[in-house]
Amino acid sequence: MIMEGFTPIEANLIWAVLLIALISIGYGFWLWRQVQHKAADEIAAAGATLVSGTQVYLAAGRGMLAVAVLGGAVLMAASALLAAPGAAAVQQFGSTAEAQTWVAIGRAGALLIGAGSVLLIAWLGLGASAQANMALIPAARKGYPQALQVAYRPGSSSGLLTAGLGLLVSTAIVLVYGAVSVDILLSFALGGVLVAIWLAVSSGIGASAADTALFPTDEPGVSGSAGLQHPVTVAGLVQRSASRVAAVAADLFGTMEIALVAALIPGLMLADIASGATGDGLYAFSFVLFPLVLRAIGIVATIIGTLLIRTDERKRNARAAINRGLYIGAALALVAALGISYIIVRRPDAAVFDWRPFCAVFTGVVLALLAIKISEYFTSSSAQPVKLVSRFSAHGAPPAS
Amino acid sequence: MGSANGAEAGMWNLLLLAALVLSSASIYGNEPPATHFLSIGYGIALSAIGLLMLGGMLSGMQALPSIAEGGAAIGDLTALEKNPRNVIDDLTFVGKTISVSSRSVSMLAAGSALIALLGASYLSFWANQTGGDVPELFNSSIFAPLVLVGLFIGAALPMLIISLALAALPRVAASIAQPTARDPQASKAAEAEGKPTTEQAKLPADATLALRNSTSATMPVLIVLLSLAVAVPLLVDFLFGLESLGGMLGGLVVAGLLLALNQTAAGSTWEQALSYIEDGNIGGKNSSAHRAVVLSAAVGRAFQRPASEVVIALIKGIALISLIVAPIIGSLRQPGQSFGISIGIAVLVFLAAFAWSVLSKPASTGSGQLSTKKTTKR
Repeated sequence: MIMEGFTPIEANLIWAVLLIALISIGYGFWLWRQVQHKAADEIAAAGATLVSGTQVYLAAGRGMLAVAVLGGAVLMAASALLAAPGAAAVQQFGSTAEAQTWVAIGRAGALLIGAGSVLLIAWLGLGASAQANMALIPAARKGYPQALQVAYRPGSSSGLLTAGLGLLVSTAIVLVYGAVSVDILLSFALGGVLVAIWLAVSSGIGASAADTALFPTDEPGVSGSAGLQHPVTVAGLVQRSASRVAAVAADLFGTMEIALVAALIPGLMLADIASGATGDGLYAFSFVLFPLVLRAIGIVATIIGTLLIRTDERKRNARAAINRGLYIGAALALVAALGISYIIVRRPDAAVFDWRPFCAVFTGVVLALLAIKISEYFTSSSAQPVKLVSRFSAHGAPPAS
Repeated sequence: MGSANGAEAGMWNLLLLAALVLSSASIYGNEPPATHFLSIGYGIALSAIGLLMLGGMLSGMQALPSIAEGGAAIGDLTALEKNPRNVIDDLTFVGKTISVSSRSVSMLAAGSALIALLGASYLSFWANQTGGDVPELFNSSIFAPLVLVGLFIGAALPMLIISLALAALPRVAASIAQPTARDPQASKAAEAEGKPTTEQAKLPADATLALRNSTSATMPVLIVLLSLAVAVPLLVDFLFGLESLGGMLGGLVVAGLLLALNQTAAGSTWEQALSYIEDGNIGGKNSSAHRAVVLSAAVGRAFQRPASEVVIALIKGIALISLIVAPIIGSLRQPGQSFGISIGIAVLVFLAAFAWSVLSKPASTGSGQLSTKKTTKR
């Protein structure tokens, strides 16, 4: 079984991964506390509609969501009971019947846990975002740096909660289910993705619909006015924060789990090939451990990068502050990934350091920074494309295609 | 213009995905056959994890504008002073770009994670069916790394074509308007020098010149597009091989058709909406609905003709050129040749293209200024 034969280093790394996951959840929750607006003043009175709006939004679609999630869990369990279990599952649990039962329980449970965690994160994130809307006012009175902190923290909080919860549960699944964990992790990811679809459809379409409804028209009775007294504005703001905070976190959750499963499927097969004969139940654990460790490194780098997002009253440059956090975070992540891979990743044939997995990670990190640069170029008002569009718009419609 | 930018940004992001797959394929290029594709899949998945390493920061970036907008709405109610108001407005403004750039990373990560997942599942399913062996046939399946590289390049091509076609519009428009509005001497000279054929004789001299100028103004675009049509299949086939070329053609046809069909339908809807409103519905001419729809109709016209027609024509051209090129390159390449050097060349080409795309921007800025001046005169 995959659990046996850890080297001490590998065992310590697993503990480190679990610890970092918990730290991530704790830090995410601390950030969440930081943006709460506690004073009962006129700001709280004005923002009350947003706070209650988030509750109404989450309650409005819950029937549909419950049907999808519970139905999904039942189908997952049924799928495990109907299909013959794989050879690895039988090897691990002793008999076919037992393998089927454990996989069925794991699948249904993982789907529920996945959906539950994403819902929890969405609920916390929406609350934090409504609170931060209010907390932004006193922060902006204090100055630009404080306002940037408040505006950045809610999303960062839900991102860290997502990364931490996802890593904690996935590591637990890998430890318990070993070679069968791919099956269970797929279901865990699906649970999150179901909620993500629900969030994306309801908030994405809802927010744009609110914009459309507020578009000034000639029709009598439909006013183009905005403001928190206008019910459509409130709905639009709530749904926009749902789409930019909650749906983003849910999307992050799904992609992270999919990437992990994508690494584990070939990873497990390679681990099997690397250790003894194929199908003998012996695995080289580093192939499975490395992706988990990478995610833990990412969390540490994110926390450090988030702490580095600072600007001062003189510069007032949010983009430079965030970019600095990103670059330093990415550099730290790469250094740490190189160090860890030097310790645990060995070529199966020659027991020397295998630099190739690190290179793949390097590509990913660098491409992420490149992608940010590219869309910054195409959408930032200080670069050519936006200036060009604005210039053409200055003389009416036609060439503004 | 906005749509041309969008297409260009989309192209670069697709090429990033191609680069991601390619880098794993070259990192694990020397793996023995039994673990070759497994390792590449593992590498792609690790790259996807790498893309999302700073996921927590990305989600913080995406939330920024919505927090600021909500704060601004509350500020409206509580009579916020000018300075904090400016702070919040700036955060909203900067936040929107920051949010878009992090969203594109999430989308790329989702794309690469999905490729890795589907490819790995496909591979493991295949390995189970054949008892552990990964047959060489996988090499030409749709999830084979080199096919994927081709697929993304092919899907990026229509984006590039459409962005080139749309970006040329303002320049050509300027060249039509220029002689008639600014250079009466030139048009007179043309009248004097011209030996009008029967067709030209029916046209006023200004119109002849406008037509001639606008046609010749489209020639640079034509040259660029044609050289693309020849160069891309050649390069793809030469650098990555026949599987990649096949993938490229598949991606090209699907993405090109999707783009052209979408733009034709959307464009025609916008144009029809203009006629409908001008017929006196929903307020008729000079209503706010009319002002809004005039812009959409202009975009719609650009979408229908230049965009979709150019894309369809070039799809056909590239496909035919590929078929002619493939056997020639095939006969040049030694079997089993490693593509280590080719990747170096590919990276150089990629960088050169990027530099070219950035450097070529000032030219179109110039023409933009020209046409702005012209309109203000009018």
